[in-house]
Amino acid sequence: MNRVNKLIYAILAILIIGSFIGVAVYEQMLKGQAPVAVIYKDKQIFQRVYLTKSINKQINVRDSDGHYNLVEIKDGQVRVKEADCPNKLCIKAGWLNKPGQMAVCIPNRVSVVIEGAAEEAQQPDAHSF
Amino acid sequence: MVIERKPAAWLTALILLAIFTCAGCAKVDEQAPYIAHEFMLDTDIIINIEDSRAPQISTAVFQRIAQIEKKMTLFSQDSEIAVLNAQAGQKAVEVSADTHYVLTKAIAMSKITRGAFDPTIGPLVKLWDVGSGLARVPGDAEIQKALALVDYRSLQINPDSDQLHTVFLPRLGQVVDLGGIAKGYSGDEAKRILLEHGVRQGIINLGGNVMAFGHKKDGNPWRVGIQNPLAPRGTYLGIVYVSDKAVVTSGGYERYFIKNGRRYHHIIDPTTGYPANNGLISVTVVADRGIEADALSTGVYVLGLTEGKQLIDSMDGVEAIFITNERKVYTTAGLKDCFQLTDGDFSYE
Repeated sequence: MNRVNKLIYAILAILIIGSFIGVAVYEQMLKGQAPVAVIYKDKQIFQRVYLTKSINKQINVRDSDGHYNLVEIKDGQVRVKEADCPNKLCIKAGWLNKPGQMAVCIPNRVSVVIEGAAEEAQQPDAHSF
Repeated sequence: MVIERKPAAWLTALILLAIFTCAGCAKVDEQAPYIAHEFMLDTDIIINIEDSRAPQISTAVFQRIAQIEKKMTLFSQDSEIAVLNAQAGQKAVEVSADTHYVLTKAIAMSKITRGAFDPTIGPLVKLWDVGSGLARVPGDAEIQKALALVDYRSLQINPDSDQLHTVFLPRLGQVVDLGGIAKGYSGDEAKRILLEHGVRQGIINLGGNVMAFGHKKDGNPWRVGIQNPLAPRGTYLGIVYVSDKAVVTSGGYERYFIKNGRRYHHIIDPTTGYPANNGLISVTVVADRGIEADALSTGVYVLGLTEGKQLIDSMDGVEAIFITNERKVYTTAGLKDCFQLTDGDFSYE
């Protein structure tokens, strides 16, 4: 095998390996469309937060009666960290990180739901009102 | 120097493949969705199309809608409709083919709805003035006086075959208001212009008055969300799947005022002079033409469930969704397979 053919094989190998890397990177980008944590208060959207690894914050969902749920977002996960409800079921739900998971606080009428790309795609194309 | 054929062939094939793939990418990129916004006809208008010339085409559509608005608005003294109203009881006025067409169609829809939709509703709309912030509950005498001027049968329109388009309101104080039909007509005209420019599919949303033309790029029907009348705007209670249809919703849930604990909304019943109160909180009409869907949604909302549903059932190619104040949802037979109720607070009858 002469040098030119070696070169061609080398280019071939680079192209093939490169394309696999390209596909992997592309797939990673798709996954990078992070899920969204939607916090509802009284059945209405209180706040939407993207669950990317870089976002760390705490959101206090407080109502006029002084009742509260402290929602924590960290490392692409979300949980109810503290609440003044009697049974603390929302806290017991623990960390959420997959679309569809939710933590609900019935006494304070607060819920945290994770929506993923699938839910986004379910949005209608137009809205008639 | 000998180049072996095999690797060279593979390399060529791979490069060609790459070129074709990239060409494909470029083409897709060029057809990215385009969304244009304008405030016209007293509402937010959104055009959603995919075409390499989308900005220019959208501008052409907006120019056409501006033309229609200029002829039919009540917010300007020199629109054709304002002039028609100013000359009521005095003389016939000449109008453009556009206005003549919309008035003729409005009268036809009034006949079909037996006066539940009526373009001469103006005196009552002015009297109630819902949505102005100055609204009050008029006295019964005032209502009776305005009501006496409302009669679509009195509007005199010369036939389309005549060279000149003339219209006459015979009685002093009569007022034509095309608020319940001009948006629907604009949707039809928007679609016509898009088709003329070779656009085969898209959505034109005239303040909730949706023209979904063609179908989605993947061949599926469009998904149009129907507003939950008891929740903030943007919350839908169900989805209707349509191709090439106008979807128009009427309801008293957005424009209203509250006085002494009672709620007064903006859809006035032309037979009673008071806001329509027939058990419905919203009606959505699905039809081929926006102008018909628009007028019918108002008319059927006024008629109520029983009469309204009978009327829609009797019409070919027109379907409807009725939402009652008991949170019950009814649809006509043609929508059974293309309407999906998604909100558990409502029940599908």
